[in-house]
Order: sequence, then structure tokens, then C-alpha cells
Amino acid sequence: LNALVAKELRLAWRARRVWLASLAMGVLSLAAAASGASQFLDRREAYERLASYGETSFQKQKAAHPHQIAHNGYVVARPPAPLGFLDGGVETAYGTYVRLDAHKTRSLQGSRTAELARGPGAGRFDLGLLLAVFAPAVLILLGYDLLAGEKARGTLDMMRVAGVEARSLIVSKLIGLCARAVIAVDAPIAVAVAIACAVAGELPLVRLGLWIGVHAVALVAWALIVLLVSAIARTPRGALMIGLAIWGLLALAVPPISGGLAAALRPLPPMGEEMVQAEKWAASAHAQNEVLRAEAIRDVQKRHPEWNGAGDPPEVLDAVMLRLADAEVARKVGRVLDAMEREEDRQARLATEASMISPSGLASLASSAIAGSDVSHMRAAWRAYEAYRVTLMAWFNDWWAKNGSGGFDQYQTEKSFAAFQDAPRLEQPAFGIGFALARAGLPLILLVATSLLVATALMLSARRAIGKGVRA
Amino acid sequence: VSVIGLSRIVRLERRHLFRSPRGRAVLASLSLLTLASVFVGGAVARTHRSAGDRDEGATWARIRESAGEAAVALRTSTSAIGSRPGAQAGAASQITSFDLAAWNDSFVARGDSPSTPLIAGDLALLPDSAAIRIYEPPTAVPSLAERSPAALILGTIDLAWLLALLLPLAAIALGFDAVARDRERGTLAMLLAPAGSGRALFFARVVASFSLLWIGVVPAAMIAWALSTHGLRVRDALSVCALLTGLIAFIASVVIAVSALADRSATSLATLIAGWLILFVALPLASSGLVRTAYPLPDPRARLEGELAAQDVFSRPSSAVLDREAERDPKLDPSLGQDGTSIQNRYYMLLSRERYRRAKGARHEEEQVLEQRAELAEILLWSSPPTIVSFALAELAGTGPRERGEFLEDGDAYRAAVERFVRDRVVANERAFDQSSADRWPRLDRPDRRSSLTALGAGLAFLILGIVVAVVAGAWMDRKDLAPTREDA
Repeated sequence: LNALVAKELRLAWRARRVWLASLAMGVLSLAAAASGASQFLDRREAYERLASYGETSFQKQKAAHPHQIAHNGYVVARPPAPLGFLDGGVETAYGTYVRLDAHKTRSLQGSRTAELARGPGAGRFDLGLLLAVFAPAVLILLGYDLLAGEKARGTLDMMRVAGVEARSLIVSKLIGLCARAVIAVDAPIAVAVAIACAVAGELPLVRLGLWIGVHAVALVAWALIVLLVSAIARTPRGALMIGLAIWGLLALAVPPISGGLAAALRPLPPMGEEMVQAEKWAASAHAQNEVLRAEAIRDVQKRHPEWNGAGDPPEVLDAVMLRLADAEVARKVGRVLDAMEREEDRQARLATEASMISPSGLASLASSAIAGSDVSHMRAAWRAYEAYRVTLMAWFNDWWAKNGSGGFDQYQTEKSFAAFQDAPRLEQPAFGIGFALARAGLPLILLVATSLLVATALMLSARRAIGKGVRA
Repeated sequence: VSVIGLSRIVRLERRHLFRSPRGRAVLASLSLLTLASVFVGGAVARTHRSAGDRDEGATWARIRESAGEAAVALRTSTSAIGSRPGAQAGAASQITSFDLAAWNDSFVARGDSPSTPLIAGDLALLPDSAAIRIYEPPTAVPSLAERSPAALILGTIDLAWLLALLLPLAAIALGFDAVARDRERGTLAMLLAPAGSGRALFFARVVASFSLLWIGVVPAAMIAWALSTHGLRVRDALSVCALLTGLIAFIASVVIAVSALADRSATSLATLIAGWLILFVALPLASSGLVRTAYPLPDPRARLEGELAAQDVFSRPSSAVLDREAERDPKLDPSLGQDGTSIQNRYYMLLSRERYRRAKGARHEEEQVLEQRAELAEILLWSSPPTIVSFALAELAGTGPRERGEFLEDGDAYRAAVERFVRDRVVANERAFDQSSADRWPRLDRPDRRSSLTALGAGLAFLILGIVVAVVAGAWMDRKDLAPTREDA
């Protein structure tokens, strides 16, 4: 085994093809790093501008009735994904800011669907896309003849006579292909990742390590596929043809077929009627009735047991009623959102399962999840903003309930806004590695399962190839 | 070479290619992928159509059911917007046309065409419907791309995807060594003896490759298309046939030409793969990057300010605005109202015009940039074969770069029609929304902007280019040295 490995490593180092591929990948990965990092910087700049605008416009507004302030709203912006400069995921398609406005649940605005294009990655070009879709083609060019070449030259017979076992042969070839991949793919990508990190000014080490790990697993799966093809094919030309066909199928056809099937078989429910319903509920927050009033009185009595319900209440009943109604609206909207997200998850799960045989599709899904640029991260951020809206609303209603209108009226007043300075500010939700791994779990498990399946098939076919020798 | 001789060579080459294992594999894979792409595209298009139809259908059902209904549910919206805080619920009165048009979202479906299964991936980027209120421009519902990771990260297969990415690869696999292998082996001279000239052999191999690709794609695409759609127009079918024929002829010519001019199969394969990467992957990506860079989207802060100002029209009504609007349309003067409902409707009808103007102004800059982007994108789409194909199919299906803007424009025109309809009823001091009003409620009638000319023109252009490539490469091949290569020696 040692001799075989040493030979493969020597060949990998000396092959002109490997260094040419390394050069090409170097150019491509630099372009991808530049493209991804510049998009990320634009996004971050826009986020900082909007976050500062939201804060300034909230603090500098004219004083008014506390509930009016809640209606004026508070603009919050979504920060870019932690590894958005490496894998943009669905960043472009998802909204980036929202005005949180009293009782209304609004979806994020500022999605840039107009920037999307057809094809893999929907028009983005970053290192995630390069690694998932195009690097496997380079692996095929690097390793298609590793076993088929031995067959064509007749050296496989010699190995059999020399007592080389299939396992040793496969391990040495795999190490040889990995060495070629390190020179032609990993090294240029590593340089590009370092440059992208430097340009973006971000270095989340753990997340970065996981992201690299996901792509490494995918590349190992591809390396095994390349060796399997090389073991099955009779000639190097045949291996190249089959390898390219398999790449075309697994990297370019299976993912969109999975996406299309998921969209067709598990269509997402239309949103229109839910929007109408949410608007109606939002509007009903101001509706008052006797049942609500009675509930508000009970609520006040819970906090002020000394009040028997007669005379002036210790809190403004209108405010308590609004708070109760708003909480009910938030619960109803939450249920609708849960149902819609369940449908979206079902579609995503089907797409993931359908792309099981495609390491590229699985790598893309896992990569964007680890990068924090998949839809789960975006959705969770938005749900956190929605929760903050309810908190803010409750704070203003509480203020009103406890202090009365405090002299503020519906229109502008001479009073200062300083009274509301203590209103809770948004703390951007932090999604840890655990959250990302939970989202990347299924694609990662399927990726490992695919690798094991291919490795088994490779071992069987290599044994067969060595056992039979070469018909030629 | 006589015509009879040429046809014999063509027949021989075609038979050889169709019987080879590689030819059969390519034919079977292409047919299967074409069927899959159009059927999946058809299924995806149906889900989008039904999503739009459900929203629009629900709107119509609501309008019909609202005839004679009490207005409490809707009128609370008025109080929520107009008289905070602690507003009381609206008095129990009848719903009016104004209530339906202003305090309630009406949805209009974007609609589709029989050609959408061919380019269903575009639908993920487009809204299926838009919400209309008379006091603001239409709001598109989130598109599938904004809700589904699968649609965006994995993509959606359709015929345009197949033609852009997989067909060229299949053509390369089929023909990268069509001539180069004979040159490599030193058998080219032997083949040229019966063929008479390099041109005849080259032409025969182009025709053989073209035939196999054509049979692999066109019949499967047309059958699957006919089965997965309804109301297919003959001229659309002919245009798509012309587009596919032209594209396949172009790709087959280029692949065989590269093979004929390369000394070795490996050189031919490397050149073709590099060319595919540049023409079919890099150029489309660069085009969309260029569009983004040329017209960056404006800072959203102006829009946010504008939207807040629009909201203020209802939440902080200004008498100056009311006076100005009443002067412009004296018939809407609130003093002409006969009861609380009609006075309130007139009041808000006047305010809604100012609110619409402010909301429209807030979006103006963004809309302008999107329009400029669509213009530039349409020009750049002619820069590479895959974008030409997807543009031609998008024009046929009405899903091109302008579609989002045009849908919202049509929606805005519809909003204006609803506003006129509602104004007449407000001026007439409508007391209750009745069945006859429900029947006369305006309907969105989108103009048919689909065009099959682009597909036809693109098909012809591809065909002419393919012929030019074939003629030039054939002539060049005749001049090229036939001596065996170094490997043969």
C-alpha cells in the first residue's frame, strides 16, 4: 500500500493536467471570491445604513400618543448571513428590512428577485456554487483514467499477478485523487476563501471549518464516483464520457428536477387569503366590545387586587383592551405562519430527499445552511422581528395603561419624545452553529450515505475488475 | 461530390451514429430529460396558475358575498387607520363599494399562457397575484423564490434549462471526437477517399449529429408540451420547432467544426468544454452581473419615508389636502353626502387620491431602476445562446424581464378602473353594495403581449449561424493537413 500511495502521490505532483486545472480553478475561484465578497459588502453597507436609519428615525420622531408611536413603527433591517460572502444562498431573494407597525404583520421588504437569473445558483457566482457545481467536473478531468488507464495499459493484470489487493488499490487511487484535488481544487479555493474573508473582514472560524467540511465531504463523494466510473469503464475515453455525463446529470439535471418535483408535488399554499385574514385581524385590534372590556377588567384586577371594578381603574382600560386584542391577533397570525412554514418545510424536505443521489444538490443545501444564508435563517430572523413587534406594541400599551396618555395627543405635541426612550430596542437574533447544523443535518446525512453507497459499489467493481483482468 | 453520393454518405454516417452505443445513450438520455423537463415544467406551471386563481377566485367570491352584508368587519379598518387610539367599532351599516375597494385587498392573478411549461423556472421569480387597494399601487405577493429554498438553490428544470445546459453537453459528448478521432488514428485520409472531399464528410457528420439531437429533443418536447398544456397555438408550436431546429443545427455545427479542426480528441474536448463554460455559463452570469452593476437598486430609505408619508394621509388627515382634492373633483365634496357612511366615503375617497400619489412616488425610483434593468437585460440577453433561447421562450410565454413591471402596470390600470367604478358609486351616495354592483365590478383584462416572433427570429439566426460555421469549417478542413499525427507515427 505504501508503495502504491507513494507512486500515486508522485504522479499527482508531476501531472501537467493537475497544474493546469489548478491554474484554471485559481482564476475561477478568485472571480467567485471577488463576486461573493463584493455582494456581501454591498449588503452589509445597506444593512448598516438601514439599521442606523431605523434607530435615528425612531428616536428623532415627534412625540405623540404612545399608541400612535407604535403605529408610526420601527424600521428593522436583517444583517447579511455570517458566511454570505462564501455562499449567498437565498440572500438575494429574501427581503432585508421591514417597518414593524403596530398590529400589522408584514413580510420583509427589499427582496431583490429582479437580480435573479436562470441557471445554477440563480445568477449568483460565489465559492459555494463553484465548489458544489463546477469543482466536481474538475475532479472528473483529474481522475477519470486512474483505474481505466491501468486497464487500457494492461497494468491491472500485472498488479493482480503482483498480489495487489483491491482494497489497497482503491485506497491508493483515492489518496492519489485526493492529492490531485488538493493541488487543483483545495489549494486555489483555500487561497480564495482567505482573500474573501480578508475582503469581507469576517473570520467565524467554527462556521468556516464546518462549511469547508461540508464541501470536503461532497468532494470525497464525487471522488468516489469518479473512481467508480473509472473502475467500470473499459477505456479512459469511455470513463471520461461517462464521468462527464454523470456530472451533467448529478450536478446540472438532478438538482433542478428535485426542485421542480418538490414545487409541483408539494406546492406552497397561496398567500393572498392569509394576507387578507391577517389584515382583518390587525384591523380588529381596535375593535372594542363588552367581552373584551370584561376581560380587560379582570386583567387589571389581577395586577391591582385592591380595585373592585368600580370607579376609576388604576390602568387605562382602552390600553389594556388593545394589549389583549393585539396578543390575540399575534397568536392567530402565529398559527397561520406556523402552518405556512410547515408547508415550506415539507417542500424543502421533499426537494432534499429527491436530490439524494446528487452530491451537488445536497452540498448546495448544506452549504447555504451552514453559511446562514438558507431560508430557515431568513425566516427565523423575520419571526424574531415579528416577536419584537409584539413586545414593542405591548411596551407602548403598558406605558399608556400605567401613565395614561401623559398629555400626548394623537397629533404632534410640544412634548419631548424622551419619555419613550426606554422602549425596548431590537436585539438581532443570533443563530448559533447548532441552528445551522440542524438545518444542514438531513443533506449532510444523505451526503455521507451517498458516499458510503458509492464506496461500497466502488470496492465491488474494483474487486471484479482486478479479478477478471482486462479483456483487451 | 454528387448529390446522390452526398446523400449516401449522410445516410451511412447517420446509420453509424444511431447504431453506436454512445448515440443510443445520448438519444435515450435526451429524450427522457426532455420529457421530464417539459412535464415537470407543466406541473410547476399548473401550481402557479392555481395559486393565482385561488386568490383571484376568493376575491370574487368575497365581492359577490359582500352584496348586502353589514360593514362592521371592514369599517373597523377605517377606525384603525383614521382615529386612533381607542377607536370604537364602526356602526353597523351596509358595506359599500368603497369599503370593498379601500379597506380590503382584492387580488388579481398574473395568469399564464400555454407556453409556460417550457420556461416554468421563470415563474419562481414572478408573483402569482397582486393585492389591489385603491389608495396604493398594486403589491405583488411574494414569489416562490422568496418562500422556497428548493426553487432557488436547486433551481427548477424546464426546457430552457435543458437547452441551455444539458443539450450542449450532450452534443459535445456525441461529437467531440467525430472527426478528431479519425485524424488521430490516421483513418481520415481513408474516409476522404470515398467521400471525395472533407466538406462532404464534415457535412455528413453535422447532419448525422443534428438528426440524432433533433430526434432526441424535438418530438419529445412537442409531445410533452401538447400533453401538459391546453390551448396550444399552431404558430407557437412552429416557432418553438424553428427555435429548437436552429439551435440544434448551430450546436451540432460548432461541435463538429471544433472536432474537425482539432488535431486530437482531447484538444477538441477541452476546447468545447471551455467554450461551453464561457458561452453557456460565464456569459449569462456576467450579463446579470453587468445589469446589477449598471443599475444598482436605490437606497430603500426614500421609499420608507414615502410610505410613512402616505400612511400619514389617513392617520393625520390634512384639511389642506381635502380642500385641494375637493376642488379638483367637486362632486366628491363631503358636504354633498347624505348620511354618515356616504360622508365618510367621500372624505376617504378624497384622501385616498393623495395617499395613492405619495405611495406611488415612494416607489417611483425603484420602479424606474427596474425598468432600466429590464431594458438592459433585454439587450444583453442576445449575448449568448442560452440567454437567447430563454428570452425567446420567455417572450412566447410572457415571462420575460419586463413581465413583473408590466403585471404591476396592468394591476395599476385595473386599480384606476376600480377607482372610477367606486367613485361613481360614492358620488351617487351609495348606501349598500348590491348584487348589480357586484356583477359590474371591473375585471382585469391584461393585453396579450406574448410574441412568437422572437423564437422564430432566434431560430432562423441560429440556423444561419450554424450554416456559416459549417461552410467555413468545411472549407478550412479541406486545407488542413491529413497526415497522421505524432501518435500515429
